[in-house]
Amino acid sequence: MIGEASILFGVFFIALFLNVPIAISLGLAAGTATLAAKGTVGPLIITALSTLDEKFTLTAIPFFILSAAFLSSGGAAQRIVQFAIAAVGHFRGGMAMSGVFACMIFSALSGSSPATVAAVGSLSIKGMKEAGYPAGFAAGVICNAGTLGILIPPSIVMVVYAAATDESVGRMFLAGIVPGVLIGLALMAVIWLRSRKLDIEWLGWAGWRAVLVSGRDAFFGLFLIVVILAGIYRGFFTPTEAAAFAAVYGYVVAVFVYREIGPLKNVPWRRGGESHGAAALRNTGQVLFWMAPALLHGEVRRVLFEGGRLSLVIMFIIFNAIMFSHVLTDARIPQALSELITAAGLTSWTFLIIVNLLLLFGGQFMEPSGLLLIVAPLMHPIAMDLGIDPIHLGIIMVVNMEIGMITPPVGLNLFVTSSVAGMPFGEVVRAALPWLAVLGTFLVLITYIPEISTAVPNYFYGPR
Amino acid sequence: MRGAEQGGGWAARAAGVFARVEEYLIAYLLAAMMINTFAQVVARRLFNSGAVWANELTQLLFAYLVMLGMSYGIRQGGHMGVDFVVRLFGPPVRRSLNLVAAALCFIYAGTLGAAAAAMAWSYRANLAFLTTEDLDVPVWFNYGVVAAGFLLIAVRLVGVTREIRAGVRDGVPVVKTGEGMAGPKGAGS
Repeated sequence: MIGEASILFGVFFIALFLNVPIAISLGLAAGTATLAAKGTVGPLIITALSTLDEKFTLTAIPFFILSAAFLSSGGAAQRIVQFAIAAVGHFRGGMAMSGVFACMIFSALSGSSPATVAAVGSLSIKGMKEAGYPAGFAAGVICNAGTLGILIPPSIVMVVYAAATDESVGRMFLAGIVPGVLIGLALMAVIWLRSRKLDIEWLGWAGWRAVLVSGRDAFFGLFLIVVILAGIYRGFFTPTEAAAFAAVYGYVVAVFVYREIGPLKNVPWRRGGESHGAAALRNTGQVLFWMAPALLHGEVRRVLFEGGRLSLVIMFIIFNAIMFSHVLTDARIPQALSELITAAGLTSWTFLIIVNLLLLFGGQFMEPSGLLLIVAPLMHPIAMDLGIDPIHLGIIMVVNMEIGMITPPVGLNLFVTSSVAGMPFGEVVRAALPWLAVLGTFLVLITYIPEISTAVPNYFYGPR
Repeated sequence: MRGAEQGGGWAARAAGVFARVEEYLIAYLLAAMMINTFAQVVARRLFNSGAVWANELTQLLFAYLVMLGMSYGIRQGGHMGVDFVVRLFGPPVRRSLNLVAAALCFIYAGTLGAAAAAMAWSYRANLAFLTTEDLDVPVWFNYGVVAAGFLLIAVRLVGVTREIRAGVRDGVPVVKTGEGMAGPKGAGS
C-alpha cells in the first residue's frame, strides 16, 4: 500500500516539476503505480471510462463553458460592464467597484474564473486605467474579483465536487450565492477604503434612466442564472440539461438577440421606415430561417471550437485525475487517512484547518478540477463522520481553489490577467497580493460559520 | 491551416487538412451534444416522450470529443504545466529537461494507448457481442477510439520533440510563468 502510494506521488511530482502537463503527470503516475502493483494498465482504463460513465453530471462542464463562450463573444460582457458602471460607478472608487460588480454578474453566467477575467478584465482594466487608476490597482482588483466565477453559480468546480462526492449540484449552486455576494461586497468595501489615497475625479451619478437602459441590455445574462437555479431546483431538468439549455440560450442571445456574431450581424431589428408589423414579420422569418444554419457560420463555428477546446483541456485533466484517484482508493489510502485522523482524535474544528492547509498547498501546483477530484473523495467520508455538512465542506474547497488561482506558480487567473492587462506576470502577482487578504479572511469566516454556505440550500431543499 | 506555417509539400498540406478536420470535429461534436441534450429536454417536457438513448448518445459524443481532442491540446500547447523548476536552469539544460518531459509524455501515451488497443483487439476477438446499453455500439469500438486518442498524442509528440530539439519550442505545454505570456485564455476552471 505504502509502496504504491509513494510511487504514485513520487512519479507525479517528478513529472510535474519537469514541466510535463499536469494531466499527463497524473496519468503517468497512476499508470506507473498500477503497472508496478498489477503488471498491466488495462484495468485502469476500464475503471476510468466506467467512472466517467457513472458521473454523468460531468457532461454539464462543456455546456457551461460553451454558454459562457457564446455570451462573451456575443457581447454580453460589454453590456454587463456598462450596466455595472451605471449602477455603482458614482461611488468613490466606483470604476473599480464596477469591475467587481461586473465580475459578479458575469460569474452568474460563467462557471469558470479565468473565463470571467478574460471576458470582463480587458474592458474593465482599460476603463480603470483611462479613469486614472494605477495599472496595478486595476489588475489586482480584476484578478481577485474574477475568482468569483467558480463561487457564484453556475460553477464547473462545484459540478466536479458534486460528481466526485455524489452530492447534489443544486444544493452546491445555491450554497455559493451568499458567500459569493459577500466576498464581492467586501472587495467593493476595501476598494472604497483604499480609493481615498487615489487622486482621481469620481464619476457623477448617471441617473436611474441609464441604470434601467443598460440593465435591460444586460438582462439576458442575469435571466439565465435564474432559469438554471429554478429549473434544477424544481426538477425541471438535470444539471446537465440545465447546462445544455444554457448553451443553447447563449447561442440564441449571441446570434439572434445581440447579433454580434453570425449571419444576422449588423442586421437591425427595425430598419428605417419599416413599420412595426413588417419588422416583426421579417425578424420572425429571419430567426426561424437561420436557427439551425447559423451553426455553420464561421464565427459561430469559432465559438463552438473555442468552447470545445477549453472543455478538452479540463476533461483531459479530469480523465487522468480519475485514474489517479482510483489508484489512491485501490491502495486503501482513504481508509488509512481516516484511521489516522480518528486516532489523532481530531475534532471537526482542527480537521477543517488540515483541509484548508492541504488545499492551499495543493492549489499552488494543481488545476482546481483535478485537485478536487482527488482530494474530495478523501475528505468527504471523514467530514461526514465528524458531522460536517458536505455542502459546507464543498464551499470551503471552492474558496480554497479561488485562492489557488491567484497565487503562483499555477495561478490561472494570474496568467489571464497578465495577458488581458498586458502586464508582466510578476507585477500581476504583486498587484493581486494585497487583495488576497479579503479572500483569506472570508476563508476563515466560511470555514467556521457553516450557515453562510448552508442557510440558502437548507431553506430551499430542507436540512440534510 | 495550421500546417501551412511549415511551408509547402504534400506532408504540410496533409497536416493542414488534418488540423482543419480536427477543428470541425471538435466544434461539431460539441454542437451535436448540445442539440441532442436540448432536444431531449424539449421532447420530455413538451411532448412527454423522451428517448432512452439520448443520454447515452451525449455521453458517447462527449467521450469521442475528449479522446480525439486530447492530442490537439498537445500540439498546440494548450495543456497546463508547472515550469518554475525548469526555469531555474539555463537554456541548454532546460532543453534537455524538456526532452525528458516529452519522453515521459511519450511513454504515457504509448503505454495507455497500447493497453487500450490490446483491449479493443481482445474484445473484438472474444467479446464482439458486447455493446453499449441503448445504442448497441460495440464495446471494442469504444476502446478503439480511446486507443486512437492516445496514439494521436504519441504522433503529435514526435512533432513536439522535433520542435524542442530545434529550439523553437520551450517545453511540452507552452504556458509560461514569468513572461507575462498568455496562458490558455480562459482555460480551466
